[in-house]
Amino acid sequence: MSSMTAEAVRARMTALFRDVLDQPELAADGDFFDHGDSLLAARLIMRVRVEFGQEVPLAWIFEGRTAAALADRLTGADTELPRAAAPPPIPRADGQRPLRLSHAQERLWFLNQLDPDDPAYNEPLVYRVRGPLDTAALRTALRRVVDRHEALRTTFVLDGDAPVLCVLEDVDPGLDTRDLREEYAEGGDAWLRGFLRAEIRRPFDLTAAPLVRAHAFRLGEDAWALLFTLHHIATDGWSNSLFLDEISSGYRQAAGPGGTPLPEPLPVRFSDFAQWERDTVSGNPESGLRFWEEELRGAPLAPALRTDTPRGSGTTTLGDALLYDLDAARAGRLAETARRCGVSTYSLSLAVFTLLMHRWTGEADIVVGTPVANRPHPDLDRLIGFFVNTLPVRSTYEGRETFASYAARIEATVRRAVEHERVPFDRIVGRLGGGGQSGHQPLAQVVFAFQNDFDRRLALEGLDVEFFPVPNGSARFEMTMFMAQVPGGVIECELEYNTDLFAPETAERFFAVYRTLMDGVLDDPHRALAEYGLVSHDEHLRLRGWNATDRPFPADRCLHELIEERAASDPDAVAVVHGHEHLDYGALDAWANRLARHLRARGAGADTVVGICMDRSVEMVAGLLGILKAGAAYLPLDPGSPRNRLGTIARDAGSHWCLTLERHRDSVPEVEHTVFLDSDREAIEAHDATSPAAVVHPDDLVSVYYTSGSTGRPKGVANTHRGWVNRMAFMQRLHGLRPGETVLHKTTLSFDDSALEIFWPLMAGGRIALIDPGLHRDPGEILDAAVRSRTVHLQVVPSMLAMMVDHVDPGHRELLSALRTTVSSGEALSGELVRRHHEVLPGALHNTWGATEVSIDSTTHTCTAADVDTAGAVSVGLPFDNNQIHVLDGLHREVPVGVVGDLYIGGTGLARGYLGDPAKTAAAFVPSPYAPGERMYRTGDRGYRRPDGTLMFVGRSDHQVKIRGMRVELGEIDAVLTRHPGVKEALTVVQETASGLKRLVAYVVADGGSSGPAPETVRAHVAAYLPDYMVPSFVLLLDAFPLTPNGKVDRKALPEPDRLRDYSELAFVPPEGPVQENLAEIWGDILGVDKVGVLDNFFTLGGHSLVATRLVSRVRRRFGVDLRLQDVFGMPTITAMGDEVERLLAERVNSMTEDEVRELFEQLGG
Amino acid sequence: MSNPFEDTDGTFYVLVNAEGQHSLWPAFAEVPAGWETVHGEADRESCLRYVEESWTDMRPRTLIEATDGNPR
Repeated sequence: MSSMTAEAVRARMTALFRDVLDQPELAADGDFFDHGDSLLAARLIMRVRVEFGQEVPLAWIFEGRTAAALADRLTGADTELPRAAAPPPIPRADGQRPLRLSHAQERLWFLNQLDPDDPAYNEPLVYRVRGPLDTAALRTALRRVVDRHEALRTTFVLDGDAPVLCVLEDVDPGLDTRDLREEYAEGGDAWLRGFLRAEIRRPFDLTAAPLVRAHAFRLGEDAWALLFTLHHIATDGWSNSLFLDEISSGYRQAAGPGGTPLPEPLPVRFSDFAQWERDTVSGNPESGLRFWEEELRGAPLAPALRTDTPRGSGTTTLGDALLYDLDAARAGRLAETARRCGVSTYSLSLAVFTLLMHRWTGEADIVVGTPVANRPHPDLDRLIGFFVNTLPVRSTYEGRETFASYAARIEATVRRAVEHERVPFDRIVGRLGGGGQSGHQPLAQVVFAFQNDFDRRLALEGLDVEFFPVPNGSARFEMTMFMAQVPGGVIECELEYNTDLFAPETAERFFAVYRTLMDGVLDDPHRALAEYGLVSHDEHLRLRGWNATDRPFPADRCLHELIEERAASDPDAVAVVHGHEHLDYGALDAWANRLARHLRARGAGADTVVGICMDRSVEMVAGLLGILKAGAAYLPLDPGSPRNRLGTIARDAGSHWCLTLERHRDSVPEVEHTVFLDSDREAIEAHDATSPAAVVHPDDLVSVYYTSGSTGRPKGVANTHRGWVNRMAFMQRLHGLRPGETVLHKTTLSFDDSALEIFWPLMAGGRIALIDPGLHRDPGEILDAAVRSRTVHLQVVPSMLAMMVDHVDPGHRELLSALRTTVSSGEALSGELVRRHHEVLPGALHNTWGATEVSIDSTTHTCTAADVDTAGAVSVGLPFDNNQIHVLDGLHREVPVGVVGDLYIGGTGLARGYLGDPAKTAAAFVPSPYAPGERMYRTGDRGYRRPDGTLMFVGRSDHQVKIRGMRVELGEIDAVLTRHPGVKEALTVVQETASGLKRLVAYVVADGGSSGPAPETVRAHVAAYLPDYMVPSFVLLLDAFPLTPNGKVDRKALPEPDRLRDYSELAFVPPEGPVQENLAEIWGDILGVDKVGVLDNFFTLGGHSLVATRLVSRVRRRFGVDLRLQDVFGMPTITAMGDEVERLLAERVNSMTEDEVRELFEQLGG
Repeated sequence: MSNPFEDTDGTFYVLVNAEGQHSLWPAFAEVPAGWETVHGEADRESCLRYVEESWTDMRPRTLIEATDGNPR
């Protein structure tokens, strides 16, 4: 190089830049990355090394960016740089030995073996041609290309059990010429695309050459469609451009007067490369693999994108593509922004794409694939073949980082990757594991590819040739974003997506959000990553449309007033039925009036809270109405809950009154005025039967429902008449209850759904049929009661619905003919349960979602057959009348359809807040950015919208869980645990067994040096303060909690309860005798517990009604006796249950022969 | 990407609307229309304490105006 002047180096370098970038006008100080990407940079460096005989690091081009800078560095660094010997030539492969495939070819060959008909790897090049096409010249040109490039006339055959290359000489690809003028005249472009697509999708036989098909379809006098289909195993993007180049020059040669020189002969053949790759890469794979191992350590192996259709067991390649052009102005701004950020256009576009992936999925660590040319030797420059490699690019997200800094990080990642581009993708996958997982591609399911304009250009002398994109109907990955710079400065974007996984609307939105993000970045690349909005103006309008739910309802009326109207218009109609008891509207109204007067005489009225501590009864219904008529709000107090808890709640609510019955005398908390509806009847009846005419405002409180509170204190949700009237009015609009029709009331009063079963029918003139207390957990009893009462409506939690559909016999469907609607609420509903409901129960199934804080619930969805295939929870539908739902991100901004965010509810149903707790209210009921001056409730639920606006629930953002449909804050249990004198620290978690049982496990650290309290004492302590569903099944004593490096409790390191059972479980009394032993075995099996003691409680071990049903059937099979479901609830220990089974067995044995008895006892192992 | 209202290290405002209802509001976000800042910017604890002390009657203002003075 010393022989060259600096000017000469600069001129030579500029020429190289121009050539590699195909930019003949590029100036010496023109930025390489305005036109090229990292892949082209690698190609340029290769040329520079050859041209100047100098070992030039790839990094230089990223640092210098212009021909001038690179040239200066080269001349300045003359002495420092090692002199690059010309790279040793690629040796000629030994034709006598079997020719191995390249790594990439081997992967494609394997995929082809899996599904030889899959057209995903057929690469189409389609052109519209105007002018007199010389088909003979085209045929000659084709023949020359195939002669010149071995890859196009290579077939793949088995040598033993391994595929080898079989190179054929003298292969004529031919040119299929057809006259389609008639068909085209009739069908036009639409027909043509379909026709071409079918032709493209025709499978290749890899054992037959050539792997290129060429067609010239005549569409008019001087109009043609040209189609070249190549199999990817013989080509790649770079090769396609060589192919087109050589077709262009070959055509010119063959059609013209001659004189155009034939291209120089090629220095190597593809088979030489394949052998060389094996010798050099496979010979020393470790260094590259070590890099990738380090780069991808801990990277997620599971796919990041949530699909519309569940991923199946195998991968599919059916696909489609969306096209969009970034116009020249925007493309120009893109190049300008990239320059300002100091990165290439490619890196900037990729960074917007990886940012999209982070924001779309909510994942902070993602991997996308990106193709690299992988032509690591200058002699491969002009060779057609399958060289391209896919490299994983890993990106991590930190919301406060600026985009510019993030893009620089992405570029550095790409640069590192390109330095190790020769390691075949499959070997990276093999090293990292995860390749064996089915249902998705390993490591990278999403790919970003940046191409250059010359990739697809075809020039035929004397003809007007235009690229005519026809997607081949396939997608190699789940999503692939292609960006290509084309003449005129436009950037063509193409999003290819798998149509088995994604609906077209989802792909369109993904694409649209990419553009929105890109616009944000082009406006200002120095904002924090979290600040870029995802929602365009159009999307915002669409989101707003789904919240346009305004509808008139009786906004100036109170709940009880609407019931009074019914009583006045038809006093003789039956209002409540319980067994043989009937109460008509007139009598109910009169009773409630007297009760209201009784309460008001004792000081109850507006803004007071009256407790009601009783189970389902006619008295309870009268009591509720009486409280409302007095102007007060009712406070449900479950007589089955610990008295301590009821006392705490009543005190917290400032309730001085409590309605109850004699049979609950022991449960009722201590308050100033306890009113027994049965024993105080006389005193109550002494009051006048007319309405006390209390002044009640729609904004007054209607009820106070206590829900679990995370800091250890339950919260009282103070709802208003207005919110509940709206809720009930919608109920009536949707379900249209007619006067005289019945609704079964089966839900416990302390679950707010029960209000729908009580007040809705009374507002509509219907009747309420009550199921006996204690029977609401028994699916058989509920079904029988539904049949007997001819209920038109059922309100259930999914776990109960599951038991009911299991319990239904064919006769039920007919007997339940009155049943029009079943409403599921409280928990996530599965597609499987929708299917079973549709099979065995009549009527529609609705799924609802919402919160006690916003009048019971706020969205509804009518389930259809389409829900059966839902992967997770079934849709919860759209907000109903006067409710609004917002899905917001961490910066309190709307997210687009499909993106998971925090769910907020606004509208008429909002509660006043948490009773007497302004701070908790202020933190949970927050300003709505969409309705000036109004609030919305922060649910803590997370979810997303589907393209039709319907909401999908995906989980919680905190430690709230649902046990049997009831909200449980684990923190509340911890707080009660630590109040035990022997407990210092406590942590409660939910354990889900393999069979789907959910149970609470409490870990406690003892206080002081004591050996710690007995687990059973701790459980008893909890049971004294919390309802049964909040009492942990297991209490495990630990010396200390396992901690994470940053000092938090390491939940993953907590011991499994089963293993420590002997050490810390309830006092263990082993079973004795065959009956107890057999029962213990059955329990252990269905509850997933190693050892069961005879004093253990079935329900505290995690059993619930569904499992109880299973227990009954197992007992029937094992002992041949029918244990009743009520017996399980009534005697939930092995001791008690064993006695009952013995009794039943004795009855059975009496009617058995001696042989039968012997057989039975042998079977029981006794 | 946690919820902004739960950020114990964040700073907040206390906002009040025409009904006298109080709300916590993260300081990074623009104060929405229809709300007035009455406290902050301050840490979460201080804002909640302020709410505790000043929002003593949780009834909305329209309800107070419609019903106060009438025997109920």
